[in-house]
Amino acid sequence: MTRITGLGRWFFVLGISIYIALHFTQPDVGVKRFVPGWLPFPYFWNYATGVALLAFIVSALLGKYDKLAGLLLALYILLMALLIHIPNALHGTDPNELVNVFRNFIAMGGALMFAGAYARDPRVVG
Amino acid sequence: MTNSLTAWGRWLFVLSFSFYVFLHFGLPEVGVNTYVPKFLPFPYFWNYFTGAALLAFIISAAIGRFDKLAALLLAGYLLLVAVLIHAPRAANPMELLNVFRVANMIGGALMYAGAVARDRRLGFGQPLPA
Repeated sequence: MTRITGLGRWFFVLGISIYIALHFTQPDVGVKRFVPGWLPFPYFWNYATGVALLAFIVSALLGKYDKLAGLLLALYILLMALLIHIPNALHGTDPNELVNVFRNFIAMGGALMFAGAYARDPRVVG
Repeated sequence: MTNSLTAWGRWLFVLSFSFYVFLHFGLPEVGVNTYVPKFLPFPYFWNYFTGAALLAFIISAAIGRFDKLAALLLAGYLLLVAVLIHAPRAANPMELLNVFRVANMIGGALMYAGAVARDRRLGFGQPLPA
């Protein structure tokens, strides 16, 4: 059973991988739907956050700085909820945006559990 | 400091499932028409039953009783959701995205069962020391 629960971290990492593909193959969707309109250089943010997600996956696979990466992933997801999905849900543009807020919180909880219990390298953040 | 921060993870993970409980009970037609596989009889039963199962996970985690078992069952339920509902429709890009979203949640449920759960009775592991 420990082997099965040990797969959890890898399922979590696998679930993040699709977003890298989305950030790099569909930048126009990211810029039009997800980068807040008031941010300058929207394509920069689309690609920078894609690279950040890739950095989390590489860090988790290598077991280097993975606690820091898990915490930064949780922060990124929190910012997504606060800057994108909660404002969209409040403006009522799409009912799925409220679902996205809770999806964000579930993923953020996963990132914090990863950082707290599964990350192997606590450098920088202790 | 970071450890007190990461301790919030379990509650964010657990409590956020309450929204899906609300969806199962507040919008049963959406569940039945969009998510319950057509080959399953009694689609309203499955909608409400899985909603009750999600609620049971939340209660189990909140009171710390049988929570490893509950998290393992949640992972099994999410795997079935991915395999029976989203994967067959994965030609639609949104459904492919849902497969990965559910994989992410399965990972969270297994991490919860492996490292966070307090009561390991019937969870195929020894109870944590008091």
